[in-house]
Amino acid sequence: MYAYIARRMLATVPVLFGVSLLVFMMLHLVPGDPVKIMLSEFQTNPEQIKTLRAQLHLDDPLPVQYGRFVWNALQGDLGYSIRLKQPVTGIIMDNLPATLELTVAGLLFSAIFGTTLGVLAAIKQHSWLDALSMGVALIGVAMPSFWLGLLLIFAFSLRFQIFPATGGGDLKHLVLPALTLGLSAAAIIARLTRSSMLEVMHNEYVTTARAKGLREFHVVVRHALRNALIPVITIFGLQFGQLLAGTVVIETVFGRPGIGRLIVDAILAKDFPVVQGVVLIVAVGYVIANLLVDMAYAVLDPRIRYG
Amino acid sequence: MQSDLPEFGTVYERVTTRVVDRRQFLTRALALGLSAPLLGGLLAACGDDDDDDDDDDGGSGGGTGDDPTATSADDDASTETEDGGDTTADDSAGGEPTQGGSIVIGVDQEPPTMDPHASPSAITFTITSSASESLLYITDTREIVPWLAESYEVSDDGTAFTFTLREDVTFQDDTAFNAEAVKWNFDRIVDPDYTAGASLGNLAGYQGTEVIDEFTAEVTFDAAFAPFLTYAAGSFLPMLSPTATEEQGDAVNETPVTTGPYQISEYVARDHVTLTRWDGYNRQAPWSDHEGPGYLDEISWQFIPEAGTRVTTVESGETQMITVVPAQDLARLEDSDDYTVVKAPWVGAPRMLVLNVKLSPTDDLAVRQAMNHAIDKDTLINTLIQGSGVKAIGVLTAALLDDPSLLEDQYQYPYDVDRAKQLLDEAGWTGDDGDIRSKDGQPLQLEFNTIDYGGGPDESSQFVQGQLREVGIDLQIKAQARPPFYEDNYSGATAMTSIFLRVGEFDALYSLFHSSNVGGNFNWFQLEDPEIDELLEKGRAELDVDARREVYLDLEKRLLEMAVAVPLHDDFSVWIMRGNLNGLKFNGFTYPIVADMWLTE
Amino acid sequence: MQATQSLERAEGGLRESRIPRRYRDFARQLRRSKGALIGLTLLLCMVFLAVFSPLIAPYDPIELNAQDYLQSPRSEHLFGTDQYGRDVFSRVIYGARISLVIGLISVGIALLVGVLVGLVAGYYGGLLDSTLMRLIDVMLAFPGILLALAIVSILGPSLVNLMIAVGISSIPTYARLTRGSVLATRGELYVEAARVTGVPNRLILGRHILPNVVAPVIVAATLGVGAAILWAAALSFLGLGSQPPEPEWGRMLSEGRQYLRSQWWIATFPGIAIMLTVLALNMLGDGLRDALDPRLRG
Repeated sequence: MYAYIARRMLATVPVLFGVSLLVFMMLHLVPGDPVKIMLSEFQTNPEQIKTLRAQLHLDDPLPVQYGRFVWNALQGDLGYSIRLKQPVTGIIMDNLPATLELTVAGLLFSAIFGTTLGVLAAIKQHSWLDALSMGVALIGVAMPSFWLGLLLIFAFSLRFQIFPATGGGDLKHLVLPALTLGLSAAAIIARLTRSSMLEVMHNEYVTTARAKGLREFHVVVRHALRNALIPVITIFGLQFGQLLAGTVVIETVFGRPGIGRLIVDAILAKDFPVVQGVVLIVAVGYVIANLLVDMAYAVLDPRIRYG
Repeated sequence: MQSDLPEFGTVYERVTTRVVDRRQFLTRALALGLSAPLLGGLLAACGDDDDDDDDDDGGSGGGTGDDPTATSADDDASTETEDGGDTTADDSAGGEPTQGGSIVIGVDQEPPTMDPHASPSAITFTITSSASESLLYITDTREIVPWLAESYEVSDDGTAFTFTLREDVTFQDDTAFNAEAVKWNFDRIVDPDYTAGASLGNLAGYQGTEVIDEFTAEVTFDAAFAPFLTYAAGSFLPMLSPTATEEQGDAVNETPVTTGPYQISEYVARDHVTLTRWDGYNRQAPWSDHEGPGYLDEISWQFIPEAGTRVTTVESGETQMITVVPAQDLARLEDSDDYTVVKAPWVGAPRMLVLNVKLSPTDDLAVRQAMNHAIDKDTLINTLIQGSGVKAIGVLTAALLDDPSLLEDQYQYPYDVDRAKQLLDEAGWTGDDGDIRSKDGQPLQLEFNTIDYGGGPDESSQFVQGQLREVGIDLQIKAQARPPFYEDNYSGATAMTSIFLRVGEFDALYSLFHSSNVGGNFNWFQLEDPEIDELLEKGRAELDVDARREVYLDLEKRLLEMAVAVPLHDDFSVWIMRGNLNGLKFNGFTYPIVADMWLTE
Repeated sequence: MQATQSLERAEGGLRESRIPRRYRDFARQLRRSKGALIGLTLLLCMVFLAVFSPLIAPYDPIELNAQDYLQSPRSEHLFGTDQYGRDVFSRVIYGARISLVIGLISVGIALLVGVLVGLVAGYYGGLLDSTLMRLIDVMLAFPGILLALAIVSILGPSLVNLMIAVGISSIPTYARLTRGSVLATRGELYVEAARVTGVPNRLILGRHILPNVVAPVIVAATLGVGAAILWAAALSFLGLGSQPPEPEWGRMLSEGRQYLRSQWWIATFPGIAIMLTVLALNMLGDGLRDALDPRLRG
């Protein structure tokens, strides 16, 4: 198992290298002079453009620039946003907590709602409850999150005025965005939990447990659910990434600060250092999250031997 | 105030423009075929001046009691007139001002910077006008009164302005405000290493500031600069603390340090900026009804680009006041008793389409004229704009310059699709009906550079797109964030863009049309015309009020004949607030002053 | 040479006898799945609307009609009109065309590249495989819509760039899936036999391996079109996709959102349209999966 973990960790190295190379190349793939585009807001003269080119070392050979990019990134320096007149790292750090908060809240919601729905559907297979749960799951995946967000704002902020429509802050502000963000993940988790539960429930040890006369609830929770959740856990890592990326839309709809809205604003403003920074942070975070999930999986599931 | 300082009245007469005569404005508005509700809004806006001889009792219909048109206005209009009364807070319906509390104001965009000297953008001044102070103040009736300067003198040739400063003023960092500080501020703006915004044009031809003694400063210009007093009183030349600004570095873009009654205390990007009451404020601001600091503890400006969400927040109570309200929501909220709606007509340049005279196809006069005929402004205003604006009559808003002679067809280009098609045919742009026209194989296609603050591009852009299509012009909308939008405009990259300016001076036209402002500033028309330049320079040097007005009237007619722009609408600055909020005012540039606002329990 | 031919014939005979049965099973399975039939019917309706939109739509989807602006749904305007007086029904119908084209082309791009990469990597293995798969891993490191966002930020917002961005970011799904199927098939006896007897790789890939890859890829592609439509709508909603006046559903929703409370129809109908289309594709995809590969039944 330790060998597996070591190999798994080692395998992330080339991925991280590739990610950093791609992110680095973004600036150079943009048509036109990035410096001119970046300086645009105010009147600029050739002198200022030259200074900025020099500051960004854009006249060095590409490998040198890439080396510097990685070296700086490793030290936590992701460049400087001319638009926001701040170091990119600082901007991201200011915005990251709100996004993580939203992502975690969305993930929690999807985990609780999704597994509940899935378990209910499985233990009452072919009942109306099953049909309803799977109907909700189908719609949850097909519903565009921005539309769901608008509908929720309409219902809960305008009509009933239970939750605020916009902004960051306390827990109340988190409810609608987390719900919107988490619904499609909840749908996926529900379907997975259901099929996984159905499989496990037909297994011998569950039948044995039933035969021993254990209460159904006990059987479901102690024996079936525990095992059924193992495959579910693996997609947590995947879903974490999906949700993190999903904040791009949710933060815009709900007017929440965060790196999702940051990157959309930065793309519209052609603020490339910020775009690069956010993409890099999210990708690296996602790779690490997946690594952790895989490791947790290896530890949790003794049945799997990694040769 | 004026009796203490006789020079104010006289210089004001000599240098600044005439206040728009209300009755004249009304006649004009009627001639333009405005509906009664719109008129109500206009009257409310025009009527919100303290010195008006109306008896403003704050009751329904109060502000315009002497006006026969207003009394026949319908419910909508009377709501608005009532609201208009509220803008003169001191004797409005809300009762005695109360101390304390905090409010959140929802605005449609985030400022590019909070540094008022660096910003080219109205949203910055919308916020800083309540938190910073200038040498003089221009009232909502466009009267110039003392502020940080107790008095001033203008040399006979109009090149030197001597300001006598108040001696009891300190910045919020407790450093003293004096003639050195004035010099430092003006020098900062013109420093070539500093990228100034709208402020730069307000110091055109700036030679220097001489510190005559601690509290006397003389500002001199290369040539007579008639608009300077208005600029010194406007929103673009406020005084920042030299000590704090130098210490804080880039942080000046977030929390500049001023002398005002509110401190810009916190800036959270993509979220909000907070003004906190500065208890060290020891004077009576020219807009204020009292001496000392403001009533509210905190005023937070929340950036909510999504229009629908913004409206929702004021209804749910997350915000107490919002601006830039979609037409259909505005109508609904005006009908409600729970909200106060305030509209003030913007001074400056109206919302207009800018046609690039150097780029094909808009380098062709016939194309520009055809575009003017092809766009149905009345319908635009009746559908998308509704109560938020009125039809523009020129390249300055009617609130700034209005004259019956402007209303002739040769300047107004009445909506006429056939005429537009005929002009294009004659100029060689041909094609079947319903198709895009072309000339020598080149399709009649142009790009429209528009701005997207995060809530999508302005709705009128698609309206214009559809209307130009009717006459065979293919308009491509290029929606961008503010910075690349500006870049394209400075470099003249697209054939069309749009602009509006909030400046209480005819001289606004200088930044829009003078050849020296191509490539920077606001000459996005790329217009380089010696005759226009000459008129613009003449206007700056002319000290006689009436002669000056003639110059700009002439200038405006020439520009309209050249069809360099398609003037669309004179906007109102529209604010919706919850019923318990009082005391919103506007300065002479139509920026809101929220520093005297207060909450009813 | 002769051996090869006979082997091929034998294999061919086997295929002929196997495949029709497989497809018979498949058709029966699919017919038995109510969800798949509903999905298919819905999808065919959408395709019908998309193909014949000029004939069905009562109005020009982009022409302004100011005197009719913001009309609520009624007989002349089934779905009402928007703030420019455009008929929402006509726009939704034309939108079906745009959305389906976006879905098909982006998935087409992804399939073309993804399947090729998967085939080559899975069949040849070795260094080529590990290099290609590391590249795919790098792409997979950008979760969800992030890679598409990054591509749009480079290319700039437009409908074409949107399809490219969504297409590229879906490549990994198909590459991995194909590779997996190839690896499973490669070990089969008849493939080994063909290889040993010197059948050119191209032929083996085309004749023996590709058919086995098709089934899972079809399932993934069906689901993928739905996902692509959702992503494209999200990007357009953010202003990073289609440009006005195109009646793209995501963009229509974005333009109608501020009218949601008083003129609910502007944003509601495009929202329903997106949901129904994606729902149809997902139901069909689920049905296909169950029919093609009963082992994966959920």
